[in-house]
Amino acid sequence: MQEINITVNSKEYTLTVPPYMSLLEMLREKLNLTGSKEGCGNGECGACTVLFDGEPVRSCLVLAVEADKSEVTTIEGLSNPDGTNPIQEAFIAEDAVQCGYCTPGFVMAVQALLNRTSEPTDEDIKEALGGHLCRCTGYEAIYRAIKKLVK
Amino acid sequence: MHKIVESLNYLGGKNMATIPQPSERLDARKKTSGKAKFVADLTFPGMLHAVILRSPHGHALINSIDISEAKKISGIEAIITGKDVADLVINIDIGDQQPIAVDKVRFMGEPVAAVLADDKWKAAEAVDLIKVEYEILPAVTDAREAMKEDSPILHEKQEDYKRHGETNFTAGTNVFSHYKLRKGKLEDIFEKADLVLENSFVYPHRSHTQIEPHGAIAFWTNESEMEMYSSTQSPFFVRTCLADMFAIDPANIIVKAGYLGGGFGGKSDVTIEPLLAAISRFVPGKYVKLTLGREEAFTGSVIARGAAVELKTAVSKEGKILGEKVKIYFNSGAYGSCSLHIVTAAGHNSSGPYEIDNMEVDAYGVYTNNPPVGAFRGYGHPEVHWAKERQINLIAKELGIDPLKVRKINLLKPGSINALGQEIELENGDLAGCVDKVAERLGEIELPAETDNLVYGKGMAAMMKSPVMATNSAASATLRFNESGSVDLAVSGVEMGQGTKTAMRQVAAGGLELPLERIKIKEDISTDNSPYGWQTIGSTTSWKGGMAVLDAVQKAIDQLKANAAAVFDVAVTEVEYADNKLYLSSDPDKILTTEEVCFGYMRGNGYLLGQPVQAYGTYVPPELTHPDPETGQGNCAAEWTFGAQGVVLSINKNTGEITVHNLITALDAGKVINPVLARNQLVGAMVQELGGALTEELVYAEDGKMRNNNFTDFKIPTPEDVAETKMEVYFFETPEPIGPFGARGIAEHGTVGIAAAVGNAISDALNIEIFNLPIYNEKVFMEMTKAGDLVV
Ligand code: FES
Ligand code: FES
Repeated sequence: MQEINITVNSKEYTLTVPPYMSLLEMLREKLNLTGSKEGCGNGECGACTVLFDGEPVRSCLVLAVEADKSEVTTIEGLSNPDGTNPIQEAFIAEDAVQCGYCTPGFVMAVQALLNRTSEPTDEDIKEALGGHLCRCTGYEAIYRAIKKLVK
Repeated sequence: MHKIVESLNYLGGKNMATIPQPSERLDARKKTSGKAKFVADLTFPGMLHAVILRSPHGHALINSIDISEAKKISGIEAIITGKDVADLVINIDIGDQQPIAVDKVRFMGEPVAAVLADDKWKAAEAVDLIKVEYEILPAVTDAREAMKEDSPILHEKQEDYKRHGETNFTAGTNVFSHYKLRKGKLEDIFEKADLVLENSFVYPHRSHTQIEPHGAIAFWTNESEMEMYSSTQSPFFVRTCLADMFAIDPANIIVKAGYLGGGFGGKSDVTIEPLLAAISRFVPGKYVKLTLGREEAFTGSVIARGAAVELKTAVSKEGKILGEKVKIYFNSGAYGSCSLHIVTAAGHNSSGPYEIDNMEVDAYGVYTNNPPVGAFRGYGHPEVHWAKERQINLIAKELGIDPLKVRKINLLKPGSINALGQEIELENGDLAGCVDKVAERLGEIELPAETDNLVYGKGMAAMMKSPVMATNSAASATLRFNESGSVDLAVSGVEMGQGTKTAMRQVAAGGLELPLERIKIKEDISTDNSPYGWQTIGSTTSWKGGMAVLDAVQKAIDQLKANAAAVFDVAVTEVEYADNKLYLSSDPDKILTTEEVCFGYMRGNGYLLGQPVQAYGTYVPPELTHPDPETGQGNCAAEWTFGAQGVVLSINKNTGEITVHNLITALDAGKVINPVLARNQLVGAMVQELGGALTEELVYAEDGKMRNNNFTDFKIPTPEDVAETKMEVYFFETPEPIGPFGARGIAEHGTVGIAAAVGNAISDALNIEIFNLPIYNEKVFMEMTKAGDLVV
């Protein structure tokens, strides 16, 4: 067991975690932040994406102990104080959500993209979605939602 | 487009020209903010975790299992092997499977032992310490191989299995089911025909790969009372199966289903529930959670498709199909129940949307050493359409005529008799209209000229789909007015992304003429108090569930009228309901609001007239029968959905790389309840099937080991794959007389013809013919470099 200090969604925590626990497991099991999903546990689907010191990472591939002294933002931490978030609104407006299991990962990927640039090119968008899998939507509505945000 | 509104028989023939439209999907806000809870997100105090030891072999005898080392790990609550639960049999249709293998494993991934511990890592550690001695047996992974006389046999004593209903098996072989269809007579048709074309087509196994892997949590109060949360499309079906397995009353089993992270058929029937129920029964009073990892979801639930289809078609020189012999070999994996009816569905639909007077169909369900096959979006239809719609183009090529012409002279039309012997009526949908629409769109799309690198092609497929279901496959709904005049609604279907709850709320609002916001729909299902529903499958939920909602609406309106009649002191026949109000037909100025009477009407002195309005609606598809054992015909399909699909693609001549530019579907939806949801269902289905057309195939070693049970090696479509693809969906609306507001099922239909349309487009581009899916880039490249133009 190891002690770590971590800031998640602007709250500071001191946690004791086993060395083999992933960041995803820590978020879900220790902090009850179940918005980040496990689709593969192997870095292949993107459902577990969170912002780690501002960068999008697959939290299933990061060990909790590696997150010591870092800052993490999850889907639960995205909303503005009034409970809304433009990315979420765009996904809702374009019906880019079906089963919703992949959605938190996609929303985080888009947030990371928009943090980098407010005017991403089509190539930037494709790159940001690289490695994110959705089995329901066929991606059309997700692309539409993103284009709506950058227009 | 036909409008046959007068044939509608719901709500006194009322047709909803405009069904109220919500601005967003009911659950979208919860799902985009991470608040929606899936089974994996639930925990309970003191909950144990189950980890499963699975067979690494495709076919082997279990000689011994040694758990002594595993037991030493602290925190282990129970270790269960097949011998501990040897009396339990999973008997959906055929009692051929047990929750944990007892003497023999029949596929890689079959459970061999389970460990329950207070922490999942400890359980996993203990699993690693269990020693199993296997005696490896020869394996078979192909259906046609498995039917040969010298094939290894998976189930030596099929005749001993208990069965629910008829399954046409052959003892001593791997054939567990044989569906036969006979229509007309083939006799000398092949001798007389201008053209006889024989081809064999393969649609291999795929994995559903819902992004949410299967999960469930069970809690036994005592050994005959259980509660389970499961990622299931079919909570009531799970309950039935578990009750049968444990021989306890279904009322003592409660199955709960909330949001589902994708189903596509792979979470219908039962998957991990019998296993979890069997092992958690050893620790009554404790919650036990089982969630599959991704690799386990590939091997430890059900897989999809897997059929070889052989067609021998007799054709006139004009392209009219005179007769056809069809053989379908389903590679059903190690256990048969979950694919039994797919075999039948494929048989029913193997004619494609064509009138063929003389047909002989033999469809076999065959055991192999692969994970069991279960339902997958399209349910037998994409498999046979892959064959049939490719065959149509091959016929056209042989005859030197346009494939569209061959399609059109053979299409089912009003008055045609389909393969099942049912007469097709106008109200079944505008098949020719859909075919014309796709042909027209393909005609309009201008292709760039061929370059040194790129060559373009267009292809289409016509299609039809009918759901296969139990003849008593009911859906139901409850509708209850609140004191404020708002409504609590519950419907039996599970929400798995198809938007069923959103659509059912619209149907209720339309029927009651209430604003959407006044209707609250229950989103989860609990078998102890939710309205009964057989399964959430076959794209039948909006149809059957919608009919159940309308039945409840009708009954609720009748009760409102009765309450109002008591107030007006008139016969109930003198009261009308419209626009959320009740009034006297003889004096329309005498009005009561729904709110005033929905809880009964209270006079000033407290005296209550009438009673609170609560209605239970049900729907069972009318007059369904089992197929006749000899002819395979009968009224086995309650509704048909017709359509057509098209594909435009380009191929890189240097690499074989395929880029899809357009995916097109035209479908007769009957009535589109929610255009946004409907379109997105179709788009999702088209892209999902594009995976089957181009990349998805489960690969096995000779010994039955699955080689690509991960997302790196089993490639499903990615955002990049369809970044440049234009999706086109066109709905026709020929009302379905037995559908809510005329609607019929649409959610799976986008899958049915895509693979064949892709194959036909490749033929168009390169004049090479592909018979086996998927059409990898490399496969195209190899075909291009081969000499000759007609190759396998
Ligand atoms: S769960 Fe982390 S990438 Fe799939
Ligand atoms: S919405 Fe279901 S996986 Fe994306």
